[in-house]
Amino acid sequence: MRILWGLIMLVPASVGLWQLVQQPLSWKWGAVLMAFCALIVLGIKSSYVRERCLGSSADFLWSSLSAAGGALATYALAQYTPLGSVAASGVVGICAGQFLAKGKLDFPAYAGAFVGMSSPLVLASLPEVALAGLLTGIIYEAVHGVFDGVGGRLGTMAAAAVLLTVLLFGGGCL
Amino acid sequence: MLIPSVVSGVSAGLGGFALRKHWRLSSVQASAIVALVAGLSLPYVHGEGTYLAAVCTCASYAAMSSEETIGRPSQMAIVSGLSGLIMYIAQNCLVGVGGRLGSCAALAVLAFAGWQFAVRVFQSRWGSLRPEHSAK
Repeated sequence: MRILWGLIMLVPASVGLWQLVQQPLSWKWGAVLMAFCALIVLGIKSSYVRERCLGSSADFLWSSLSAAGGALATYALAQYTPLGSVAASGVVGICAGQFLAKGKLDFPAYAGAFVGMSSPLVLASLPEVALAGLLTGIIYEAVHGVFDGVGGRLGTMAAAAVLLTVLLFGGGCL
Repeated sequence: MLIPSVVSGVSAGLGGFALRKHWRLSSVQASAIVALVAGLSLPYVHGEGTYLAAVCTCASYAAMSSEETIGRPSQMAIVSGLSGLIMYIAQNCLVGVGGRLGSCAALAVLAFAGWQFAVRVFQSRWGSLRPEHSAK
């Protein structure tokens, strides 16, 4: 089970790598890519922590709700105001950092904000965004000890949740 | 666009790092401020501003790394530059998927951590061989 959650974190990078190798690559870029992949494997090995403490059911619930809230707020700001997705995630992040830090819910809410940055071509409706947000919260609580201290960890969770949601809703246009 | 991508990545990464270190903001607040400033300003000052804002945001996520992973500004500059490079190479990957920028940031940080790990292993092996070599 522990390995399964770790593997979920590798889904976005694997899909991205698969898409990258579909493009024509020169042998030089291919060699750079191989070396880079080797470094990433070493990085995963060095950042993996064996000791893990899973949160309680309440932690799972609150993290999921705050991630879904962050996702919906960012998606609404990005799609229905002229802010754009990057600035929308910034607004939600600042609010989360200001108001949710005491309950330690700022991280899952910010992870949810990354879900809300999705294009409407990928997540077409608010229920899809909410589901991806809930999944992000679940992944956030389940992957303690995986990539701890690595910047971009929250975004990786969000990307994994979005890809799982796209899979559940039958495709999208990846 | 490779050079503007790397330059804006390094600037944003160092900005996020400074906000955390010197202004004592939380990693979420520091990253969100960089994302907001980049998202509001760059699309109006550069033709490729939307892309560069995404690069800056990606670097700000890399700046959320812990003190143990990235402790010095020079290390932050390397990782941010790497984020810019990855964003440039992976422009057509995971398009429209939320979390794409964070995934690019995580790959940059993991590659840097892997490099440091490899250097540590190499130095410990080489260091342990050195006295034997000199003893002979």
